[in-house]
Amino acid sequence: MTEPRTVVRVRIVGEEYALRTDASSQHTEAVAHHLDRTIRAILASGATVETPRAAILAALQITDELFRERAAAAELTGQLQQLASDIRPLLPPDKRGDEPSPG
Amino acid sequence: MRPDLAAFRELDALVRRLTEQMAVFRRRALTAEARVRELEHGILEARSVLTATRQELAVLTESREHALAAAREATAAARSAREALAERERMAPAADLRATLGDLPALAANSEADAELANENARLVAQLAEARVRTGRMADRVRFLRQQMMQGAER
Repeated sequence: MTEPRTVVRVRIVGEEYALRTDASSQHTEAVAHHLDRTIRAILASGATVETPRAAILAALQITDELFRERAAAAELTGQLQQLASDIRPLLPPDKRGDEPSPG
Repeated sequence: MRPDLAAFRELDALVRRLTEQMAVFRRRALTAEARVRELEHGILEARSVLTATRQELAVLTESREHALAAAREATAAARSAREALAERERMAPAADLRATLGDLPALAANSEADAELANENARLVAQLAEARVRTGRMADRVRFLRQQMMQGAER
C-alpha cells in the first residue's frame, strides 16, 4: 500500500538526509536505521575509519543479504509450486484451477 | 505480483478446495458407515426371526406327522370295526343282534375318537398353513434385505 509522496528526514552516521518517498515514514526510518547501524558496525569493527568506504562496505553487505534472500524466496516459490502440483491431481478437474505456465 | 506470493496464493486456494473435498468425503463415509450398521442390524434381526420360524416349522411338521399316523391308525380301526359289524350282520343277523347292539357303545366311542382325530388334524393343518404364510413373509423380508445390501454395495 503506497502513500502520497512525502519527505522523511533521517540521520545516517550523523548526517541528516531529506528523503522524498512513496513509502511510509516508519518504513523509510527503519531502512535508514538499518543502514546507519550497518555502517556503524563496520566502523566499530576497525575495517576502516573512513565513512565513505564504510558506506560502500555496508552497501556490499546489504546487497549480499538481498541476493541471498532473493535466492531463498525463489527456492520457496519452487517448493510452493511443487506442493501445488502434488495437490492438484487430488482434486476434481473443475476445482484444480489454472495450471501455471512453465517457466 | 511477486512470484513467491503468487505461488503461495495458488497453493492456499488448492489447499482450501482440498479441505472442502475431504469434508465431502468424510460426510459420505459417515453416511455409508451408518448404512452398513443399519443393514447389519437388519441381517441380525432377519436371522433371528428365520431361526425361530424354522424351529416352529420343525415342531409343526413333527406334530403333523404324529397326527397323520394317529389318523391312519384310527382309519384302520374304523375299517376293522365296520368289517366286523358287516360280518356279524351277514353271519347271524337275528341271533347276534343283541350282542351287536351291545357293541354299539364301543363303535360310538370309535366314531368320537375319529372325530377328535379329524379335528386335531384340521388344527394342525391350519397351523402348518399359518407357518407357511409366515415363512413366506420371512423369505420376502430376507430378499428385501439382500436387495438393500446389494444396493448399498453398489453405492
